[in-house]
Amino acid sequence: MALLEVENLGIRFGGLQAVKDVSFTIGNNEIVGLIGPNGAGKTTVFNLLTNVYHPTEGDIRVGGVSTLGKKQHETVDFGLARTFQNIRLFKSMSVMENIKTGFHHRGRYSIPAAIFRLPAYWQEEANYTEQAMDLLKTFGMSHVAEVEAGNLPYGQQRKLEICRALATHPKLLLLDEPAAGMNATETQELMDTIRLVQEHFKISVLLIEHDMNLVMGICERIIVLNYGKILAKGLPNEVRNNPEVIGAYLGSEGDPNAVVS
Amino acid sequence: MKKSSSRVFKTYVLNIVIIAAIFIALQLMITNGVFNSYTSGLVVQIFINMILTLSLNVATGFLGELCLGHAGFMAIGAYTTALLTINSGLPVMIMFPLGLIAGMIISGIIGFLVGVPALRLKGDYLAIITLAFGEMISILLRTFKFTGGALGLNGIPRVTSFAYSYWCFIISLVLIITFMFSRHGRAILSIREDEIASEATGVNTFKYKMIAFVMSAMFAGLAGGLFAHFQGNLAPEKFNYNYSIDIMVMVVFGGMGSVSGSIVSAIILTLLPELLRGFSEFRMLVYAIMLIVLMIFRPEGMFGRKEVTYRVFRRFLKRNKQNKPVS
Repeated sequence: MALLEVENLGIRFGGLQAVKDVSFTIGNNEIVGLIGPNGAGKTTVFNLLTNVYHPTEGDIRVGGVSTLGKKQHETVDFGLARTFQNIRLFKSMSVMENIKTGFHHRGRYSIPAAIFRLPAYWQEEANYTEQAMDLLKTFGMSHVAEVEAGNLPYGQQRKLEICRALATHPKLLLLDEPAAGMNATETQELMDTIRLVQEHFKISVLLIEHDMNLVMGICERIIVLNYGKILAKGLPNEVRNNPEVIGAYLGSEGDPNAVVS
Repeated sequence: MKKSSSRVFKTYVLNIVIIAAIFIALQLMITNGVFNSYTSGLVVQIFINMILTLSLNVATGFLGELCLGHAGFMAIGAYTTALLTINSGLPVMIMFPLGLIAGMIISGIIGFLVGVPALRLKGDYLAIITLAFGEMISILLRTFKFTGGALGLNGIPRVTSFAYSYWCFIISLVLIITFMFSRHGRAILSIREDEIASEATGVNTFKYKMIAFVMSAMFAGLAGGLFAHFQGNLAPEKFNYNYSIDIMVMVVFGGMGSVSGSIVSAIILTLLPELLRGFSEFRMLVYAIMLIVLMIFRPEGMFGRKEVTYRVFRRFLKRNKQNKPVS
């Protein structure tokens, strides 16, 4: 069974059909790219997957279980974690605390246990610290554990956002334009990070990206979205040479699909 | 692991010693007449204001939602406790602590009821709703017969001693600190930092906003109960929006999200108007100017979001040791 199954997904905002008939699956431990021109509906698909929006058509299943009608914060319980297009860290909290917040939804100790500092509190908090440190070590960030997240350089902020998402123990990591605003070196580092995520944590990654070097470099499969519909799906090479995709990106006169929604 | 647990133990012992020492010192000064009745009254007021400031800091500093109706919650606590001690027929010494707890619970319940609609909103809108709520409470207290109407409540037994205010403050302080430094507290902080990210990271933001808001209301209720039995009478006008703003000023002055800041600013801002009595009519003017100056030079408040902890002291001592010239 596929990890994530998306079936005829669609959403309508009033008169605007933002996403229509989007179907794809993501298997275990693969990196999939979601690309498309601006306004194609990529982030909307992400928001649908993470229950920010509720689809008006179709179904989303994670491990065979439908996530429809769930609340946003319950998404992580299904094993879906995301990052944002414009970095959203808890800026005035330390790097450590940012990651510990990611453990929250699996946390067990109750409010009385916290207030009266019962053994459950100490055990679990010690556990959190250890796990968070492990995670930071994996990404070579243990030296900045106590730094305020807002004071990190840009590339590390991205990394931290990924770390925080990983702290929720996802099966599928959703990255929304992780390379936005990065220079070539930082992008290269990011590619290594994403590969590390795949190999070390044995999870799948779905990423939205405009940087074609990154997409073609690490994605095993690519889904192309245009005007809220799937334009093409396949291996990077197939997609790259697909005339419709080229048309959508560069504009073409002869292809009606590229202009008519 | 062992090292850290022994350090935790040491910190606990140190905390208890400090808390007890402060209590004994202040209590001795009051009983031996070092503080006259005016000064000891001021001390009680400081502790009540500290509870108030801390409680508002939970909603405004830690959760990051602007609440301008805090006097309303305080009023609910004050009237609940006072009405219970006056009308219950039980001895005051038994009824007063029970009344304080009842006041906290009723404030908490009202906080929940206000929170259901209010917490769906953010920022300015929430501020306006809470402001309106505070005014509503003040008006209702004036209208109801059982609250004494516009005359207010008189003849409330004045049983809020220094010991009461002190221990209530310590309990509030400990509960708020232990709560905030836990996974639940972290969840609340993360909402302040970025609600969207917080929700996406798996925090049930509505639930935690509600917890913080109710907690804030409960401790305000406690402060209200103490206040009622300190003053001996309650007037509905006391709890208008001016008073809510006064509490807000204390929170902002100390630093939003800083427990230490709340404590220090409650002390300073309670004492300041009293100390400035020498300026007679310019008193409030000087007070206002000082606030303006602080906001210009330190807009984040005295402490910002920092805390005074043992760690700060340890670091400070270490630095001093290193700086000492080798002779």
